[in-house]
Amino acid sequence: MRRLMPVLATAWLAGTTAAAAGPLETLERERAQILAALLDPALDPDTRPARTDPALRRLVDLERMVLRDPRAAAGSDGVAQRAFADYDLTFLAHASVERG
Amino acid sequence: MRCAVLMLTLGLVCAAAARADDTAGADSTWRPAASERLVRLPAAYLERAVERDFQDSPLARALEETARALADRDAGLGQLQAAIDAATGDDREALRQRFLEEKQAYLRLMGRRQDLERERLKAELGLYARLLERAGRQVASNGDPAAARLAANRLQAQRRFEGAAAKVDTALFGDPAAAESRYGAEYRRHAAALDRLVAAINAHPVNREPEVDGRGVDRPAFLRHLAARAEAELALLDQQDLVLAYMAKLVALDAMAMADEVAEREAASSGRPATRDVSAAIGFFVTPN
Repeated sequence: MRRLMPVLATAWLAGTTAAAAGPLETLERERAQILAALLDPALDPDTRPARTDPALRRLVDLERMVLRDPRAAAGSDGVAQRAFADYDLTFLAHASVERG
Repeated sequence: MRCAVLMLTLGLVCAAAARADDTAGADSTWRPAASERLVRLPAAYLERAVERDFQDSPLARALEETARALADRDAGLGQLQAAIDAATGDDREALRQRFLEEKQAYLRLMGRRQDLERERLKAELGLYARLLERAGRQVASNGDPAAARLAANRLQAQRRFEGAAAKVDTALFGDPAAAESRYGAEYRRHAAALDRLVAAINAHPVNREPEVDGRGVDRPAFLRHLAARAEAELALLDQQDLVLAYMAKLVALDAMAMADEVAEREAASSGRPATRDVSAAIGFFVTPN
């Protein structure tokens, strides 16, 4: 989880809050939730994993859904363009592990 | 003489009109549409689908009826020719005239068949041109730079993902098999089923890549091949028209020769005195009265 922190923080700052459609929208929402849990000062180190671990599983699944689902890239609207133009931000979980 | 020629010509015209093929004037159209179904059909199956569509058309029925009538006339011409060889005198003349009439009607039917065949080939050519145009439009829309950029980025993302997926499961969840989510398990099961189905679809005989001269080609190339073949058949039809025109000319020459023959025979049998040479009468004039 510690490895994810720098990338998550960058994603948060990059403000990937644009309204997206379909699977991308769900992915954006899940990522916002996990970032909120990671950055929530009210959570202590013992209780935080209880919130983030299931969310991380969902995030990984959602990233895979977006990558596999042709609907995610259907049309050439700006949301899909931006999402696929920046793999590291959109597919946060996969990119963070890939980069070690 | 002039009367005999006129009679013969009139006889030919009337006989030909009376024997004009029954299919002329009937609905004989074929308007194949470049429908969505046709566009989506496997290329190798396209040709058969077009042929089936044609076979259901009034044009195909008209062509079939014309072909049947031609076969009948073909047999009739053979019988007439044999009868002429065996006949003598007036019967032979009557049969020769009938033979000319029949040949003219046969040529008329052949012309009709050529017209129908030309209509079929033009409709087919138009269809292939429209299908090619649709394929071209699809390629042009695929050429949208934004869509192309998105597709390239997606492909790149998928490649990165394929390389990292197993590592992600191990790194984030420990044993990948134990930590597999419901989505992951279901996806894997469906993906295996899809792989088998896709393999079966690709191996299906109807879905086989079309071939031209024993070489596999893509859809636009196959459509161009079909269009070129229709063009070639149209060119051959033009050449056949020339053959028919020469046949018609021969029939006309035969009719003229026969009319001359009849006129000469009529003149000989009418006992009309031959025109004498002017000099032959000189005896009447040089002898004093």
